Amino acid sequence: MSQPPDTANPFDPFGFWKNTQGQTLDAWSKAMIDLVNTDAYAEATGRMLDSYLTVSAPMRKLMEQTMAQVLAQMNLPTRTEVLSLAERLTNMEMRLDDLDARLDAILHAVQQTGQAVTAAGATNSRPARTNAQPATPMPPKRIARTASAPATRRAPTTPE
Amino acid sequence: MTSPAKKAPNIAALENQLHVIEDNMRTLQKVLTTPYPVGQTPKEVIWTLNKAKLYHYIPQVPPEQRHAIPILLVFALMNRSTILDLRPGNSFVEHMVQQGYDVYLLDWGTPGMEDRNLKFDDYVLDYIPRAVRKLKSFAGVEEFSLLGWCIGALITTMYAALRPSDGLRNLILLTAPLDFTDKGCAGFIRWVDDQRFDADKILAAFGNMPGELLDYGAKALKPVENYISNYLRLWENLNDPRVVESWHAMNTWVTDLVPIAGGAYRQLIVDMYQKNRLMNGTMTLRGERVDLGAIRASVLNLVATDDHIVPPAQTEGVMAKIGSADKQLLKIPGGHIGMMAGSPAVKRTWPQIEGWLAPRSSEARAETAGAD
Repeated sequence: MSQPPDTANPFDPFGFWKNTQGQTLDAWSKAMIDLVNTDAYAEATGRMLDSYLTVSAPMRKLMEQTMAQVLAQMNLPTRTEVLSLAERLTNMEMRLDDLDARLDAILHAVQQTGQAVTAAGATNSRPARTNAQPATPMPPKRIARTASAPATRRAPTTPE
Repeated sequence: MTSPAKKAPNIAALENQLHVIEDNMRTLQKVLTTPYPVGQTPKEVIWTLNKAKLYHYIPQVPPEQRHAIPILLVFALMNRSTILDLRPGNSFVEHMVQQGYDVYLLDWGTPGMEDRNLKFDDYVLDYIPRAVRKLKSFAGVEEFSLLGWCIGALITTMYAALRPSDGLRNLILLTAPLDFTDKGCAGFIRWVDDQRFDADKILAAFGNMPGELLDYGAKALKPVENYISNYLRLWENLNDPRVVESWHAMNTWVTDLVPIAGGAYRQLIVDMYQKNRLMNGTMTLRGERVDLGAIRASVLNLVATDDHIVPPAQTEGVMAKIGSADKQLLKIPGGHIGMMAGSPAVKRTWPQIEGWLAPRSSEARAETAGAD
């Protein structure tokens, strides 16, 4: 603020707090940190939370049951059914992710084979015989690439 | 009796003060009610799974000046990963990109009720390996570095132990909650004692652990700082745009709350805080025992000396268990977040991380054997 820190400003609504901070806030802070690190505080907050959860549980259960019945009457899916669908979608996403990785591996192997054939053709006029691996799907984690080699296929990217 | 000549300056001072208050109120309203645009470093999404996204940050230095080994950042399950890219000039991501690193960030997203059963098993054995697979395919590399912060460090540590041959070369841990041997140290450990805290009861009520409850817990550890001093500091610096911008960005991040998936929260409380399974060697994910001795990557473990959320005692003891030959514990002055965000982090922490990582990020493995 524009006022010197040691000058009381009668128009500053936070002046009281500023003075308090200088005088007692540090001590208050240390006392509170000590307090929250006691077993008594842990016990008290634990009990409070436990009481809240115990008291609210029957109400919550009743609400869930009522909502499930209402939704069933209205021929609408319940929360449990929607959640189940969402879980299945995630499982499908994982399978798609595996397929995507395998496709990456196949394309990479095909490209390597192509490069090997081209290289052999350039140095030998006879039909090329290479040691390149056939283009079979490989476990994605075993794919080896050198740091200098470009990725064979990049996933579609989404600018953020 | 006071003369009119003496009254005039007082009225002018009052008017001036009212203008100052009006300006301050306007700034205060803006800062408290509008979000700061965090996470501004240019990036692209290269992979998604459920709510998780893998971001690739657009390189800003020529290819010949870049490090060969990319780095993947993994933040905690609660709060947003944008703390790593808070604002221009104060962004760890931006710093690393400018230093020539190929930077990736795994953002967990916000779990919904359908994710209430997600556990560390899923994060460690499904999400991270798949994100790593995509990273390696996208970057065309076999090896990578991994940086985990808070619970992100717990997850990356378990991944490093369970998948040591996935190509992980360097592991950087920031304020990692791994060792819960000391039941009397500060932090949450007293509050979540198995005699007084029932994680299952909370999860039965909410499904996931609500972000609001997590936020309350974190703030209640230092109530005066978080509920009073923090706002006083803003009020006192309302006419300093740099302080206001910094406060605004941090407040945006702090108030953007994310729940923790129920299954993972239960494991964090019961398996970690209450039973200390990782250090005891009894932690298992899908039947696989997490053996810290199996970690082979070079490890840099950063501890914040004033961390009230993950006290140093919950991190330091793990060094003896980690199997890597190249491992180093680094103590940094600062708190849980302050260690990595804010001007002290820019001057102190980031250069130390970069200094450790650079020689370990070249094409050929560096012969670096650090001290414990």
